[in-house]
Amino acid sequence: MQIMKLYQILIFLAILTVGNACRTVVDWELESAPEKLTIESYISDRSEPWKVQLTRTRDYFDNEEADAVASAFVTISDDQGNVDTLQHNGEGEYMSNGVRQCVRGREYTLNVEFEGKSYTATELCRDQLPVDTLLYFYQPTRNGFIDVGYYVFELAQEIAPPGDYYQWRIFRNDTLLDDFGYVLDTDEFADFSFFNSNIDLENITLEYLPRPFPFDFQVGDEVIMEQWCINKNFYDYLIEVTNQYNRAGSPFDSPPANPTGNIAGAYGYFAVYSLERKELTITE
Amino acid sequence: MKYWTILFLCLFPGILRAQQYTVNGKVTDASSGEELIGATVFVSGIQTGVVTNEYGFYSLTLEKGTYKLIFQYLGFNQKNVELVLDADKSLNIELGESVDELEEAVVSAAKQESKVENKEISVVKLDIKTVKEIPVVFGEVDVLKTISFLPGVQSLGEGSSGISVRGGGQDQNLILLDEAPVYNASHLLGFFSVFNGDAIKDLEIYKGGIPAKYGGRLSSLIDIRMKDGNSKRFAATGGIGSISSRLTLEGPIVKDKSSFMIAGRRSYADIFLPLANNEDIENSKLYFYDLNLKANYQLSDKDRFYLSGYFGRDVFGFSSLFGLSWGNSTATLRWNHVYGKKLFSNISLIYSDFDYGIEFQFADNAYFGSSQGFKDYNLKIDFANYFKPGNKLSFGGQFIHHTFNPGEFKALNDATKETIGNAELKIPDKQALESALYVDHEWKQSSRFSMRYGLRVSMFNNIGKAEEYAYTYDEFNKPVPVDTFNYGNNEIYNTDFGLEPRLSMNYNLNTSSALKASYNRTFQYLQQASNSATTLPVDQWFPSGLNVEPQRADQVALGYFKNIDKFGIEFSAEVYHKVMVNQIDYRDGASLFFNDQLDGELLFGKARSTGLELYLQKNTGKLTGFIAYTLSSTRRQIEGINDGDWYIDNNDRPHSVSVVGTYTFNKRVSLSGTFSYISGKPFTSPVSSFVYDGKRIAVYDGRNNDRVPAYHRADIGLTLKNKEKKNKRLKSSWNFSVYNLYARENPFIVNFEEVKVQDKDGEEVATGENQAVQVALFKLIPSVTWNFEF
Repeated sequence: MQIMKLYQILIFLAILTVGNACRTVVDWELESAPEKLTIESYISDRSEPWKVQLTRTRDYFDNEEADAVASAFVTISDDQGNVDTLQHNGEGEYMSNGVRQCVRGREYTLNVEFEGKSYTATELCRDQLPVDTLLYFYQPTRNGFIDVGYYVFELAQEIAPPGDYYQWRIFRNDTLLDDFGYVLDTDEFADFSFFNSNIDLENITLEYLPRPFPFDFQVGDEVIMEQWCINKNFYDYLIEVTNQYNRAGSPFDSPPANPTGNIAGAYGYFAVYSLERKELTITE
Repeated sequence: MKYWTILFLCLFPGILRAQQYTVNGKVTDASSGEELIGATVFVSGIQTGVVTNEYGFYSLTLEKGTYKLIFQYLGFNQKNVELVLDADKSLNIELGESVDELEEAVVSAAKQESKVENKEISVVKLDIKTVKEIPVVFGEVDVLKTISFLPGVQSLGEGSSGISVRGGGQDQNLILLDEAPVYNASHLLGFFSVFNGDAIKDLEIYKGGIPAKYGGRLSSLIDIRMKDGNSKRFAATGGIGSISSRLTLEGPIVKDKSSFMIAGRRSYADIFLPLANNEDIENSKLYFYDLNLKANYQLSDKDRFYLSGYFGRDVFGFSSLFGLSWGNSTATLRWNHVYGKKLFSNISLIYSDFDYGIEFQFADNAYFGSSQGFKDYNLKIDFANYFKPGNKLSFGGQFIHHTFNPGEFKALNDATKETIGNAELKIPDKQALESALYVDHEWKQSSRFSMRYGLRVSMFNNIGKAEEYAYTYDEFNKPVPVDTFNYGNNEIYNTDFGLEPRLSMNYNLNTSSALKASYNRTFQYLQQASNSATTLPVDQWFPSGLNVEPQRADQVALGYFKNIDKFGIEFSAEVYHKVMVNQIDYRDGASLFFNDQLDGELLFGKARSTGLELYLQKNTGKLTGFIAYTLSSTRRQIEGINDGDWYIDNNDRPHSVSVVGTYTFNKRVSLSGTFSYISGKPFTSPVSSFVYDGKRIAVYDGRNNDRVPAYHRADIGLTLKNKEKKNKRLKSSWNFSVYNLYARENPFIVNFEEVKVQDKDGEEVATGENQAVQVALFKLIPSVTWNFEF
């Protein structure tokens, strides 16, 4: 129901406009907190080097680059006893020695030793079904939410029972489209928010979920769709990060809170996902 | 009934003494026939008296003899009546408004004496005339905004009708409109309250010492009474203002027996939207309307029926794509009956409903809507027996059936239904019963000491059909339902009881000063799910149940009251301490919208509030008004927030000052002004930041570690009455007001965000640098209203 958030912000903006509101940048003195470690890592069943980014927190108004952490000991292991030590690659990035690939159904554990403390997180690489088709349709008029253009949608099946969580990454000519933040969904309930009327439902059997993506393309565009099957907690984490990052100072904002990651004692997230990928080129 | 009678006869054997007679009747306004609530009937010589009830009714039982009765009501000429009491008698009295309002009715010693005594601790009664004189935003009379000038009552800020009473939550106020609970008292997302000043007769706010007759909310009772309608002649009042217009019609149906009142209001803020120069805003809708209706019929001297209703709705549409609307409806049917001379009864059947809907249209065949709401059927039976002056016993009961609609989502037109089939997503309704029995005794022991004590026994039942869950929490503190319980239709599956003692005492130090004290315990079985600073219509009400204990509060208050007759000044000082348990807060990242497992997202704890309230009021002379100061502290302790330590409550405002004054130059010109200063509201500011996915995310260390700058503002209003022409009934006046006279930019919120700049394509890009931004809602707002009556 992320879309509700968008509406709430719209209402609020409308009220501010009507209510003659004014925004002023002010000097504000903030408390400060001791430095803490931030860990960011995404690994999948794609064949590529595994990377882990380590930084330190800094004061909110400190506008310098984040402090990279160079002196940590980083390993990723699976539940079959395989352990991989990652090497520091500069600017806080740690990388495996060569390409690696997660196996669906296995659990992976990240361990970071830094300044005498140990930070651990474990996640499952979830299985998912292959995407059936990637299609596109032409939206001839502006319907208010979306502009005229070509829109891409996928037909896919999901593993029963409900409880699957997805993130999609759509690329236009190799550029990630992120105008709407993270594109996320779950099969926990039928989510009408992605529904679009221009899809020809006559030709779609019911077990397929037609899922359009809110980006418009032109003829000649090369489209890549990555479908990440993620864990529920990562799905929640991305929503919390979005909510916190987008705090608009509106009464609809959720209360300030630190997103609940999966690494005790550190900020950030160690995410493990499985990947399905499709490409197409828009033609006349 | 029988049981009660026997019990009381045992308790008060003295009431059976012989040679006593009773005089009863009603006190009404001579010009309109409106019943006067809280008028005093004073028996000269024996220094005793009685106050009229909510229906203008009084009953006095005295020994056989000849008495002089003095009938008084503020702003009205007093009436003295010689009464030979040699049999039970009826005496209906009409009081006329003071001819010259500048010279209030002669202030007699008797009046003063009864006044300091009749003032109840922690209770403020507001006359609608006073409310109307106070300038408000957009010139729209707003009782809830006016109440927030009183000590111990705080507005939750601009853009909110929410009020906090003595540190309590905004869902802890029982707001009654002709006895019907109003669940969302705001219009235009909180800029105005739903109460039309022209339809209201008077209101009382109880910050503590809530009588046993009322219950269901922890912190306050705001009792608003609608006008009955002029029973003497047809009359119309109305006004045309800069943001809304209103019209009230009233008159007799059968002269002196039956009357009606109908009041309507419609705002037209949306007519200014086309000026916004933005296509989406131009096509927006933003308005509210409301309608108050009332009729009454006097069947006999002993029976009177009242039917009243309220219907209001807000409509908000953004472009043609999105709509939000919400509204309250209430209806009350009441029957007053007097048994014999002393026993007054009222039976009320009440219906209240609040609902809101959201709709959005992506395309002609993709038109969806969601709705949520709340519905009550309520039966109230109240009796009051006037044994003799200073000895009144009230008792009765209440029974409410609640239905909650936590949310449904569906296709709104046939084309959409065709495309998606009849798919509907609905969280099943929840139902509950809330009932109570009470007894309340007002007793005057001597001319110095009087007390009011009572007990309310309340009960709450959750009833089926329902599906409930038991939760555990995973390693990330997210609720996981581990057990599901299903209950059949009308099956009672959870019961909570509350024993609520209430006590209020008065001790007169002398004729002009008194010490007062009160204690009350209250229970609350319904609460609002809100995790933002402001109430929204989308904040749903939900019941206590298997996973949620009812809220409970204990409050003590002590007060000193002093009247200084010479200057017409009343002063009071009160201290209170309130402890609230089973307070609710939400888990970090809780999702409250459309969640059928809302009770899994809760955290529980307690809250406490302590305060000192000073109040100086002047009712007579050319300059009238009041000064109020509140010093208070409100803290909260919730397991799971701030490591379980006590922290500053959202409603904590240590200092609050308000000054409200009206200066009447002559019969035609009056000037009023207000000033308020309130400590800034607490909020949570970041202590550090981390980078995730290229974004800088703020880090917080506990809630409410910071405070926005203090809020202060002055308003001014000028009322010019047009010359009254002889033989013409039309009276009219102009009201000019300026809200926020010195255009202070009061912080609505302070926001911490990343600086964004526009790149060469006009797209916003983040810079990685952070800033603090203060948002202010209203600067100076002038408004003009033309009011009329005939």
